[in-house]
Amino acid sequence: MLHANLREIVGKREIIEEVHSPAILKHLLDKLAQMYGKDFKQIVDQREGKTSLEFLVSINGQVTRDVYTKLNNNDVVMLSIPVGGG
Amino acid sequence: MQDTIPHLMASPRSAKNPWLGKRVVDESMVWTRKVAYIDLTQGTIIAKPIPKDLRRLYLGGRGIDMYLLYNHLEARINPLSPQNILLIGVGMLCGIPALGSGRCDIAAKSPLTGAVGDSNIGGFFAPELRLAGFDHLVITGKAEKPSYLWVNDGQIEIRDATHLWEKDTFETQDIIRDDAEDDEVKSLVIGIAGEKQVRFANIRTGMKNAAGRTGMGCIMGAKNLKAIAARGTLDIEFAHPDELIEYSLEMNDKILNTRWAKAQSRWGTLIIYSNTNTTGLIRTRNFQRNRLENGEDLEPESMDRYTIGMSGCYGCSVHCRHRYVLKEGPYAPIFGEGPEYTSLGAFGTMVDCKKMDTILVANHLVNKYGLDTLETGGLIAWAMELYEKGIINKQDTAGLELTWGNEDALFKLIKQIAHREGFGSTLADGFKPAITAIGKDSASYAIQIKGMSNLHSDERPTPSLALNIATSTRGADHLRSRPAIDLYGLPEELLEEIYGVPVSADYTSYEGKAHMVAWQERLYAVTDSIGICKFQTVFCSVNAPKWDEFSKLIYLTTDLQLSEDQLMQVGERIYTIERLFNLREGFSRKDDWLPDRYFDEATPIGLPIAKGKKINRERFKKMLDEYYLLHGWDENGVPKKETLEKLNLDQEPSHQV
Repeated sequence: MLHANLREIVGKREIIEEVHSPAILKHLLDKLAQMYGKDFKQIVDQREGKTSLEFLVSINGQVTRDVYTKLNNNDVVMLSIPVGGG
Repeated sequence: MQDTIPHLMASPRSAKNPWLGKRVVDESMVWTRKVAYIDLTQGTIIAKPIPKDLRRLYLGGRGIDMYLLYNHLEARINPLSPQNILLIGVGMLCGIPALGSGRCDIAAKSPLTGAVGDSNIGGFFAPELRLAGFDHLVITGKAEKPSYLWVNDGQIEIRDATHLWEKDTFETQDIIRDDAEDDEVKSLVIGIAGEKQVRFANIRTGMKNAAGRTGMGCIMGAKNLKAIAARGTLDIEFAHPDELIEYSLEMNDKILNTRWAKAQSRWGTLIIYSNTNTTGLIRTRNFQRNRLENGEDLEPESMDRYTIGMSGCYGCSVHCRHRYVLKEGPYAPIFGEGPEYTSLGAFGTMVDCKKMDTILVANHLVNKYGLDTLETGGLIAWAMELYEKGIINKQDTAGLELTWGNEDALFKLIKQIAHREGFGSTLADGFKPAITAIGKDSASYAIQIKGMSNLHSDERPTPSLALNIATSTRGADHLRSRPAIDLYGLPEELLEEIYGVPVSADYTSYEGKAHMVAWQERLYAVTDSIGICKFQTVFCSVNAPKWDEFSKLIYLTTDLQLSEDQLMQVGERIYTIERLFNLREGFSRKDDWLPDRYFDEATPIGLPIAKGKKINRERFKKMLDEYYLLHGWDENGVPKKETLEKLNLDQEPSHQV
């Protein structure tokens, strides 16, 4: 699931990506960075080796900063930005 | 921003920033602006200085309003009686060119809840009132005939408003400007809902801004007060102008470089919907589901069809509101600003309407009539569920088919509420009287706390947010203490750095969340008192301004030195005096509680983290105990003697002003 300007870049709200098993979040993010460029590359804070605090990355709703989190079949990965409110 | 600059102009200007002034002032305007006591019954107006000690203890805006409310209001009066007082308070930092500093706080005893009535409004009114020489207005009594206040350069007049009565909120502002032959006049106004004393009528200014919650427009209506108009040409003076403007610009740059600000500048608060609806954190069909299925048209990108630009409040660099035109449909043409994320819930998810057109029309109607978006939507969603369950029928609704997604019924009912006609008259007094009128099992379906509707968020998966709405001094409400950053899964070391104690990064956990809520209460109490936008504090981002930035801004604006700890204590003092007010009005621990559905019905859908969730009664009770302890209140939520002494509240009411 893509939100905010990530959605605008891709032009879709939702994409289905296949990643090879065993898969981790990093594989998916690297692939998207290659396909869609700079903004997607910035999702990972290269200094920390974790997802950047400027983004909100969740797997099945569970927010994660660990790019080595395992991905399972049919997992929903949401790439968004932290905006507060309701 | 453009609008703020002329008031700040001063010569000579520096080469680096052409609008930087060099004027040296003896005193900041904060020390020269006055409080005016206006008795509408007697027609008397008395202006007094605001004591410096009071500023140190309560700052301005909400803080001083709460002090005045606790000091001047007799206990347990009828909120619609002339004895109720309406308070208008300009934020302490009003006028600085940053952080949306044009905010004004409006308070009274709420006619909706009987508790603290308080609502904060942006736009351009507060700076104009300050330019006209006043920071606080204390309005008592009731005018004999429709009236409005005219505030201009140190003078206040009570003027006839007979010609404004029955005009909508947009027309009223236009007529006042035309009468004054001055386009710069800014007004707080009510619409037909306020005149009819609908208990959740709001107060509005400009195209967009509203003091929405707790029925402050109803109080104006009860006082026969149609508007408060301000026009000022006094200078805005800062204690340390050059440093202040430089620091403000630095903060604007910092904020504008964040991704959340860029997103809000592009999509407004609607951007929140993508996250919350995907996850399953939005209540739908009143409280039956927690995600709007097939709700794609409510995604923020849909506004591209209508948006002609973005605009902002005074002193704001983000500009989070759409200016839109709806060109087609029976209500077209409509030109408006917004809608906010809350309108998306009130007239979309909660009533199961799935078209952006519906939101824009409903948003326009409530704005025109002067109704609180959230209360109106919450009551209509509740009525729709009662209709579905057969608790009310077509006879009760005078022919309205209150079926889910029926936009025609939605529009008609909004109009009926505002005019107190048909079934709308049953809802126009809010949840408590409507439950009594409808009877049967209607109370079980009402999503309200202390008599006030909750917004459309579903807090069952998020204990911190649930505690926030349960304990809010003004009823179910996110803006008193919502720890929105709990949803971001931030590193626990960072959370500990902010909150000072270990806090779980898991938003479904109860661990440390009472601390989060208490901390946010203090922060937002200070935010509302210095008069800046909550979005530009630790609401959206951990890196947004908080205590240290506030401390520096207060010093540069006023020369007043308050440390971070002292500011936190100010926040605690304001929250506690609100608590004292509510206790005096008969509220207690039992009112700090959630509707039973939060404990009994699990969320039916959503991503795995949000599905099958409900609040655990025992854990919630413990969290509430912990929350009271953190405030220095006893197990019944009553502040202890030593707490009152520590906060200089043991001598209240002290009648300093």
